[in-house]
Parts: sequence; C-alpha cells; structure tokens
Amino acid sequence: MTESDQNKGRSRILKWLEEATDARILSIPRLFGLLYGPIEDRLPLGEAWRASMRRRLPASVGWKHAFGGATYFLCMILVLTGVMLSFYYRPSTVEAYPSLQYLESEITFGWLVRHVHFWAASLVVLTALVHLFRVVLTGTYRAPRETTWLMGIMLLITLLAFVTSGYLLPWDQWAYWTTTYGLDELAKYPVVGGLLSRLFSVDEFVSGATLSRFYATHVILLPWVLLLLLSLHFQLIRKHGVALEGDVSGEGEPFFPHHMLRQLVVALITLAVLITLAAFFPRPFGPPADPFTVPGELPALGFPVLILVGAARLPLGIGLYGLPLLLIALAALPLVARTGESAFTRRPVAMGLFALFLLLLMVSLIAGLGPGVPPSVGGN
Amino acid sequence: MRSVLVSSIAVLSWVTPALSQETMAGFLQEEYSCIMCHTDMRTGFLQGVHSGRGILCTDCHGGDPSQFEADAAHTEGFVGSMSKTEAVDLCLSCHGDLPQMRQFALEPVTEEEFLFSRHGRALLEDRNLLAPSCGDCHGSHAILPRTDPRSPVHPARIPETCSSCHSDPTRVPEGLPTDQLEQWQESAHGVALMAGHNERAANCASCHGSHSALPPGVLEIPNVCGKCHQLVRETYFRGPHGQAGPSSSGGIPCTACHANHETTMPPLSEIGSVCVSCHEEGSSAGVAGLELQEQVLRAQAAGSRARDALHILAEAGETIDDEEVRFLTVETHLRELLVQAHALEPEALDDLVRRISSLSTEIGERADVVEEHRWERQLLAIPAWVLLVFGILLALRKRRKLVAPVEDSSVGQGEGTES
Repeated sequence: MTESDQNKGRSRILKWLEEATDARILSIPRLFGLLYGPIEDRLPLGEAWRASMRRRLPASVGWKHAFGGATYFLCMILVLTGVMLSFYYRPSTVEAYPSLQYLESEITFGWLVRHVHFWAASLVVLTALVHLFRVVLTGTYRAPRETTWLMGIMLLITLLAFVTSGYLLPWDQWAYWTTTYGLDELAKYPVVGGLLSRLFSVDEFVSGATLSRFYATHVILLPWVLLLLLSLHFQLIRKHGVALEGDVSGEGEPFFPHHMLRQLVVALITLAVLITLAAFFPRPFGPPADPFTVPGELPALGFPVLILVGAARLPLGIGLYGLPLLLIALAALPLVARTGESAFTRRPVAMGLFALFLLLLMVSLIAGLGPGVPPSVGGN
Repeated sequence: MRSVLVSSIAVLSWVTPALSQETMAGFLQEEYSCIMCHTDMRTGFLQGVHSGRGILCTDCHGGDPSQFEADAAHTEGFVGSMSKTEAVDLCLSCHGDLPQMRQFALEPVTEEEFLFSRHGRALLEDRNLLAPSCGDCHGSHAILPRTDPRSPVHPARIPETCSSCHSDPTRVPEGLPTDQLEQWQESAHGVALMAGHNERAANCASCHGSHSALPPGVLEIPNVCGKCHQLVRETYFRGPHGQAGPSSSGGIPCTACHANHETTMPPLSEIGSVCVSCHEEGSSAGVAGLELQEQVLRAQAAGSRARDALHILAEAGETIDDEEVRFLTVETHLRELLVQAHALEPEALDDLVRRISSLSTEIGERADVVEEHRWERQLLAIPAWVLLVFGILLALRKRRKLVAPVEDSSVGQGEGTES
C-alpha cells in the first residue's frame, strides 16, 4: 500500500509527462545504447520505457555477451578521463610536456586520470577484440546483422586510430620517435601512404604542426566518428535484437535488471583492474621530445601500440599489409557466409580467417616486445 | 658528315672538363707541357696546395716547360727524381724562409729544427736512407694542408702515417718497440680521436712534436701532458710526485701511473693498487693511496645515487629544474675531484666529497618523497577492490533473488555454469 501511495505522490508530473509524450523522445537514449529492443514510436513514454527495458533477451545470452558492454564502458571512461585531461593539457610543443608534468604532480588525482586514460586505451582494444572473438565464434555476424558487424570492424579501426593519434600527445621522446616511425611506415603503403603520412605529419618531420593535427584528430574528429559508429551499432542491435544461437533458443531473462546487473559486475571488475594498473604500472615520462636526438632505445607503451609497432616490424610487409587485408577479409565475412551453419565447426573459412588474424596479432605482439630500434633519421 | 660532327662533340665534351681544370689552376697548354707526358702526376699535383699558389713543376724540377719534345724540355738545370737529402734542402729553401711563409700563416721549418729530431739526425748526419724525408710524411706531388682529411698529416691520419714506418721492425732502430699504434688505439686519446672524432685529442705529434720529433724526456713529460691537461699539471706539481722533481731517480712522471702510449685512466677502484705497485703496502703512501681511492669511490657513488634519483623524478613527471642544476654541480665537482686527486692528499678532497654527498642527498630526498607518493597511490587499489567485491556480491545477490522465483531451476543452473 505504502508503495502505491508513494507512486501516486511522485507520479503526477511524471504521469502527465508519460501521457503527453510518446516514445519518439526515446531516440536519444537509444542512440547511446541505453534502451533495449525495438519500440513502437507511438507508445506512451512510460510504457515504451518499460517495454524496452523489460524486453526479454534470448536464453543464450550470458556472461560471454558482457564484453561488448565492457568495451562501451571503457569508451565512456575514456571520454570522461579524456575531457578531464583536456582541462589541463596544452597542445603545443613548448607546453604539452610541462602541462602533463603539472597535471601529474600538482593536481589532486591528476595522475589517476592520466594513467586510467592510458590503461583504458589498452584495455578497450583488448575487450573489443574479445567481443569480436565472441561474435565470430557464435557466427552472429551473418544476415541480417552484416551492417552491425561492419560497424563493429570500423569501430575497432577507430579505436586504433584513437590510440595512434593520442600516443603523440605526451610529447616525450618515446611518443615523438614512435610517431616518426609510424608515419615512415604509413608512407610505405602504395598510392595513398605518402599522401596520408604527409597529411598527418604536415612538415618534413614530426613538429608542432603534427601535434596540432594529431590533437584535433584525437579530440574532435575521432569522437564524432566514434559517436556516429557507436550509435549506428547500437541502433542496429536494438533493431535486430541479440541473435538466437543454434540449439539454445526461446526467451530468457529481461534486459533490465538481469542483464544490467551482469554488466554492472563486469564494469566494476574493469574499473578495479584499471585503478590497479594505473597505480602500479603508471605510464612513465620519457625525456622531453627532441627532434635532434634519436633515443637509445624506443619502448612501445601499451598493448595496441605494441601490436601496431610489432606488425610494422615484421619482415616482408607481413604485418604492414597482412593486418589491414585480414581486417578487410573479416569485414567481408557476411558476404561469403550469408547462410549456413552457425556452429563454428561448420564455418572453416570464418574460423580459419579469424585464427590467422589472432596468430598475426600474437606474432606482432611478440615482435613489438623486442627492443625498440629507433628510426633512421630522415630515412623512408 | 653528321657522324663526324657527333663524334667530335662527344670527344670535346669528354676532353673539356680536364682542360678547363688545368686552365683554372693557372696553366696554359701552350706554355706548359710537363703534364702532357707526366699525366700520372698531374691529378695529384692539381689537388695539392702548391698548384693553387703559382708554384709549378719547374720551380722544383727545373727544365723548359715550353718545349714539347722530352729531350728539349729536360734541359736548363733539369732535376728528375731527387734524393731524400736533396728533397730536404729543396723544401727548406722555401719553407725555412720566414718572409715567404708569413703570407700563408705557416711557421717556418729550419734545418736546425729538423736536425733536432732523430729523423733529421739519422738522415742528414748518418745518411741513413731509411729515415724519412719531407715527402715521406707529406707526400711528394699531392701535398695537402694538414687541415685536409686526405692529408697524411691530418690529425686523424698522423698515427697511421707514423706507424707506416714505426710498426715495421726493419725500418726502425733495433730495440725500438713497434706496437705503439695498437697501444695508442686502446688509449683514451686513441678512442677520443678515432671513435669520438675529437681532432684535438692527442696524436703522435702532440707529444713527440712533428719536425723535431723526439720522445719527451722524463722531466718534460708533465709539461707535455700539461699542454692539454693544464689543471691536472698544476695539481700534480703541488703533490709529492711533482715536488720530487729531478732529485729522485729521474722524477715520477704522468706515465708512471697512466702509461705512455696506452694512456688510460686507471679504474677508480684500483687507485690503491696502482700506488702499491711502487710503494710498499702499509707504508704511508700506500695507506694514502687507499684513502684516496675510498674518497673518490664515495664521491662517485654519491654521484650515481644522484643520477638515479634524478631519473626517478623525471620518470614520475616531476619538474626537475632545480635538481638538474644540482646534478650539474655534482658532475662538475666530480670532475674537479678527479683533478684534485693528482695532488695525492686525501684530506684535500674532504670538502669536495662533502659537497657532492650533500647535493646528492638533496636530490635523493625529493626522489624519496616521490617514491613514497607512489606507494600511497598503490594503496588506492585496496578500496577499489573492496568496492569491487561488495559490488559483485550485491549484484549477484540481487540477480539470484530475481532469477529464483521467476525462472525455473534449469535457467539458474545454466547461468551458474557460464559464470
């Protein structure tokens, strides 16, 4: 009784709002993936909200479906810490390094924001890859979810672009010379390579103009791309729902609160891991960037940069051409395997491609762990 | 017709650069015919320092350059290849003449100077033709200034030039060692010059002289080394070795501890053992040597502690302007300490060691604070994990409550195995 009294008390305005507004207004939370499943536009707001939140997921949905959520959670952490970093960071050759020194040593918990941002950037690529692995394993990239899958691959590429554009910003020797190396490697791609490399480096060498362009890409251009791709990704998941898997069918638990609680647990674990990594393994400051001194050794910092640098180091262009080609091949998977078996043993092409992709990632990771060789100055 | 034109253009275009080079060097083909036959000497001579200063073949060799026939050209006091002693006289006729040398900012070389060297005495007095003449070091036709890296008397090439005779036992007097080049290459001087490309590092001529080349005498050595190591020289003369002078058995020169060709700094941890190679162990000098070693090692350890602390501060993103200045002072003091150590008085170093230690401690204290902060940061992991465990427990409990009454047991078990 008391519960219903409370409801009566608070809900007068809400009730009016619910009746006066229809589900179309929910397009905004839907954009950010906060609602589940398709909803009829003309339902009253409250009903639409409940219908959406309470929608039951297929019975096959379990813990393995939490990695997409973890990736999303890490993206949000990155946006939040990124905005906080931008309050203090100054994107110029003179001020970038000291502004981070100031953030690290003078601002309360400035160090935490910086290192959580650094580690979240590593973890987000890892969870995205695990999410990708789950999708390939369960075969849910096939029709009608081809576009969702394509958006997913593009999101992975966007995350890698975030990592590479953010890597230069600390403006220390490691950032500077790894970026120099990366731009030299980028220039090796035929036709567009030189053009792209020039577009981002602007100058003959990595300079203040390069820093400006990397910063703008990192904080203006890429966030819009991410937002666009993420909202498309979510819209499509809402439209198609989570795929039924082979033998496990029928309705399972509702999205809220059952699956949300799962996501909460995963988010808590992610957060605790992030804080621990940030406190125990902070990204150290290298010496300030110096275009006239090639550092004696050039460590690659962070899991995605290790992979990218390692891939570039592989002989015969295995990594340089193999990685993008495999990503394109993976993106094209739904075209090849539009119908057919969902059990992964009956999809040799998809699994073979994915195994090759994983193998290349592993080999690149190992190559990246080796001692860093500074780039030859001016050599392409 | 056309083919003749083409071929003549081809021939002309091949010949022209050579002709223009000669004209530029001040030669006119009609007046100067030596190089028409002696093509093998032409290129070297044209690159040399003399051709650009109006000195021609005839100035050294005589003859009539306007004649194209060999017999007619080789008249009028023509001298062909000359002996080593004749060459010395010929070179000195200009290079010993101050008014002629002044304009080129060259020091005149006199016969007296050359005679002072063992080379000069062997050649001019003993008529030993194995001894070098001017051309053996400077070249004969392609004579280049010593600033030219191609010149055999360029600082970086002198060791090689000297050793072309001195590493050959058949060309040096009996009993003279022939492994100086190898020793020098291992020395601090050799490494600085050859690997570090420091042309001011000592080569053979820096210590032995060039035209008056002779090993320096024992009592001259501190002054010879002191030409570059000026502060060390001053300190050395304040100490017991420098004070000993000629009174003891010839003096104790720099080379007593540092060797002559294989000149290196003895490892700082072996200073004591260098001392007892002459002094008796336990003697006052031996004990002083050990004390000296201890002082230097203590200062060096303080210096490396300061470097480590600076590294910790830099990696942690601290602003280290003050600490960098302190560290520069530490490095300056360390250099000063190594200079002052040549006075061989351990007590004289006390002040410097104390200053190095105190600066190092100042840097170290800040690094300690940063290390402590790092530890405090790591404590943050505790609330993070406590929160995590509580959060997970709460969420799982809520889930179990939600799942139990609504779903049948099979779904619940399925969830359990998956998690």
